[in-house]
Amino acid sequence: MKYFSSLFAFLFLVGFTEAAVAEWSLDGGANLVYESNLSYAYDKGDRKADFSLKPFFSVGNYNQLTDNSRFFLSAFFEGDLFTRYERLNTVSGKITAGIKNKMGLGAYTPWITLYGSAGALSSDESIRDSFITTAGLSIGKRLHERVGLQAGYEYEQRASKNFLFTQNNNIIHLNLDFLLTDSTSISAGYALRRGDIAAYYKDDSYSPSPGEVRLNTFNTPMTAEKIRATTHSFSLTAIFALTGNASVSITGERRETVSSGLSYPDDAVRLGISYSY
Amino acid sequence: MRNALFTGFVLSILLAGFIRNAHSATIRVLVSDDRGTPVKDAVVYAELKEGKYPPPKKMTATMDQQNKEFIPYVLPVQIGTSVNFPNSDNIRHHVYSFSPAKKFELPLYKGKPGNPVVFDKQGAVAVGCNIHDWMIAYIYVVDTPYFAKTSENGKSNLSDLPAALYEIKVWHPRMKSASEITAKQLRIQKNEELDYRIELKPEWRLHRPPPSGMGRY
Repeated sequence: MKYFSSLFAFLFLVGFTEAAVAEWSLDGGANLVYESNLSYAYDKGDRKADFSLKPFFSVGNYNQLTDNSRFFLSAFFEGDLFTRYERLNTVSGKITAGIKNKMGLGAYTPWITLYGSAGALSSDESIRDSFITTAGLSIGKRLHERVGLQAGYEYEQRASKNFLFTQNNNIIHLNLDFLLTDSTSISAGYALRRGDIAAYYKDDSYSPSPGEVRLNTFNTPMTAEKIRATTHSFSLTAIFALTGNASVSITGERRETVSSGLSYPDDAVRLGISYSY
Repeated sequence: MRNALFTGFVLSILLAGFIRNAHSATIRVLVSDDRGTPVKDAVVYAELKEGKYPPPKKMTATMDQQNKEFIPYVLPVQIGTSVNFPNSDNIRHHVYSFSPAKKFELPLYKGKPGNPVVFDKQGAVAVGCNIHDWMIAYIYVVDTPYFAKTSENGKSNLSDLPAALYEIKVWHPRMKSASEITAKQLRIQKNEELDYRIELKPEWRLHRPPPSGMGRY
């Protein structure tokens, strides 16, 4: 945490030295999401599916530090409202700061972004309340007028009062963007995540044991345990620009989580609309 | 006496206008794509095949930056034109071009940059902003004072052309072939109408990146 605080203090300082020429962005929108295995269960019978509505809003501030370097600071707020499993309802917010450096002149020049974020999450099920900090870097390059590539690494630390949601994750991601028409783009993504998950299973003859918690998250008593797992995530997104400022998107995602030989598959579909002012 | 002077003055103006009209003509050009849809922002220009152009005047033009877009999208100019690149946004832009017809760079600035850029070579110049990659515009430099740009309805007029033999060409940023392919030779003596059909490549540019929370830049 000490390192994150120092990083943020530095980034804030750098950012506000050039506040006079700041560029602002305001984004807002909502996603309708369906997930097939919210409970991270390996047993089919324990997998809990639900729809949720996720309204979001973000404000960003961008300062050009040099011809090629830009500092950004953004605040992002999101709600998460479930139709069946209301204990999962969440509000969260985070502040992200970072520096993007373009390695030269032109639209095809590679760029690198270093960033850090700090945020809080408050859930109807208070055991989930957490502080989340991240640090990461992304690199990218436009390969062709229709094709862009980016990759990155992120470390995420989640601090909670309960051990179950005190987690850390390492994530590597790769994204390929393809312009289908002048108003439609397709994005294919892969992410490899190594970290902690809270996996649920139904255990009628439950006896408390270390590393496990009995919860009613899914409207019935289930046992949750923290496990270390590897997740391979494959996603495909289509984004349709409605105007210069508005877009709708649809994403399909397959997450294959594996731990100790057990598989925790999760499929997600996301419909989104967003507007940028 | 005063009446005679006034009458003489009016007659001389009418005569000058008549002589001018007798020696100049207008070509009305319609540019459409292979489906017959009118094409806007096509540059139409007439190159003299005999005789000489009138001596060039001091020429200036402006390509503005408003709401993170270049205005206009296509700017035709004659060789030797000084183009100003004012930034009307309240943020900074970084204008550049890698095009062989004119390589230049105007590093980060707000308001009006110090000196205009002189375009001294014929050809297409693609202009971009290094901060906002979606900002793209074109300056098309021609070696003739007779040029125009088509409007929304695909039409433009080449006016005040002295009677002579011309080659009339069309250029557009998305045109599949070179402008030479469109050349039509024409001896101009009176007003003419010309139709052009050009094949366009699809435009692969998203006008703005779609909003996605953090990481738009």
